[in-house]
Amino acid sequence: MESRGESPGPSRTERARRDRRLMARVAAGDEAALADLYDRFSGTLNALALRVLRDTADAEEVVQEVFLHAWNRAATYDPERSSVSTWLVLVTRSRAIDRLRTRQVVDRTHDQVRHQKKLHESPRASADVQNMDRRRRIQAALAGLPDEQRRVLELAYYGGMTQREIAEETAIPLGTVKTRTLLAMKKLRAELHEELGDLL
Amino acid sequence: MVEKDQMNGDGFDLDEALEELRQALRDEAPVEGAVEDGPSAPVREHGVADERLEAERLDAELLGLLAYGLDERPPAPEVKDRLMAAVRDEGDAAPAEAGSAVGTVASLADRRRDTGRDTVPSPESAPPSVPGAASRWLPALAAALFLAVVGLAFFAGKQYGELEQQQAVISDLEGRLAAAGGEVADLSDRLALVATPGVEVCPLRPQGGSPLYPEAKGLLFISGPSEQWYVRVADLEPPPAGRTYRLWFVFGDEARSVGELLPGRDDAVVLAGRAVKSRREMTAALVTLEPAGQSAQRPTGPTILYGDEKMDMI
Repeated sequence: MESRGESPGPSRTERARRDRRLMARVAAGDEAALADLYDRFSGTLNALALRVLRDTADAEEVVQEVFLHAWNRAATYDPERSSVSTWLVLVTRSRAIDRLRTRQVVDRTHDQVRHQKKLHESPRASADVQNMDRRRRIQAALAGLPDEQRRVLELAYYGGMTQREIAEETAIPLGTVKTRTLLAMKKLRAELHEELGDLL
Repeated sequence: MVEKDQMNGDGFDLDEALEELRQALRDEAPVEGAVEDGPSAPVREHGVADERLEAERLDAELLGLLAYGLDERPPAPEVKDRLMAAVRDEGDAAPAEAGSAVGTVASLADRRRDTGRDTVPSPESAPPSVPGAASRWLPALAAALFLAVVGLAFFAGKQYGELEQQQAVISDLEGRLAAAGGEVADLSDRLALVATPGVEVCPLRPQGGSPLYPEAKGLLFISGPSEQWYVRVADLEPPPAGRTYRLWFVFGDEARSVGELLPGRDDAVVLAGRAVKSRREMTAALVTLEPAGQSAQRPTGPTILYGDEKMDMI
């Protein structure tokens, strides 16, 4: 598993260990460690926030908030409960969806106009071979889902919608939404079990 | 779905994780496809905490992993600059706040040094030969000291109040965390039971021509390997005062009480148990309305729900 990808580099398991050490340094008030953590994860976290919010400025504010949160709350991070990457991703998603809901209430129309302008920025190709390798596998796993399952998952994950809201949005029965969500999660678990194993 | 830093102690995240599990359990119809494919975790005879934690962790990591399927989009360089500046500001602000009183005194002293004169003359610097000078500066000094004492008392009181507020918030969060942790454990057990291979599902429906609660419906899940069971009833009015809903399993001519239905968090009533004796001999299940607090030898009240049709899901 570790030999996948064009460059050996540190294994993902080793990376996970490094991340934990980085968090420990952040918890100890090491600003350089925070900068390293930022360099390591900001690209992905910003991509996630951007996917949810579809606005560059909002996404960047979320990213800044997340790292400030990490700076102030690093001591509460428990490596037994989640990997550093997951912790940061889930905080980011939460913050982005909170902001999305607030924004939807405030200005829906203006928001839509901004979406169209901002979404055409080209992504940066990552120089990290292992990241690219992992990204390919995750994208393949997502692409392997039936369209209807992927749609439900995306609305929940990126849109922060409840299953009831998804049922209303897509005009399909609630029970079907639940079934699709569970099946999608199950399939992804099976497809990505190696990646998951590296994080545990 | 399991969400964000619920894994690490923020209350709102834990709530969302719970909600996701509830969503899965709230499904009134069995999730055929999900069950057909087999469960993701084995049924736990004794609800081993390690396995549960591992399953929760696995779900969280999966959700965390999905973000890495997106193409990276680094934020603008200014974002990092702003972040690091904010971190430095926080670092600078903390000691300044902690020592604000001292800082204020020191800065006043500095200003006085800078201007080369004291705004409040010291006794040593006061011209001793001027009659009535002491009577002018002594009240001013007393007033300044009084104001300083009042200011310090106010500052200390404010800090103490904030501390108390924070302690109350922490206590509240700890309580919520403990309660939510227990609920996650329960929900995980039930989810595992519902998704286990060999689970049988028995729909419970109102019986007779004019049922008491025609909208009520329920599902009884019985796991083959562990003989654990879990029942969930929806659209049932709260029982009248002094009455309770009781679940019975019927074995031939004998109805055996297995417990009272308890209100759930989402208007449903749930009950779970273990070790259904002679599961294969069980012919039916029913819910009746019974007097509360009485021993349950046999059903005496009206039947609210009844089911005798067991469906093998796998």
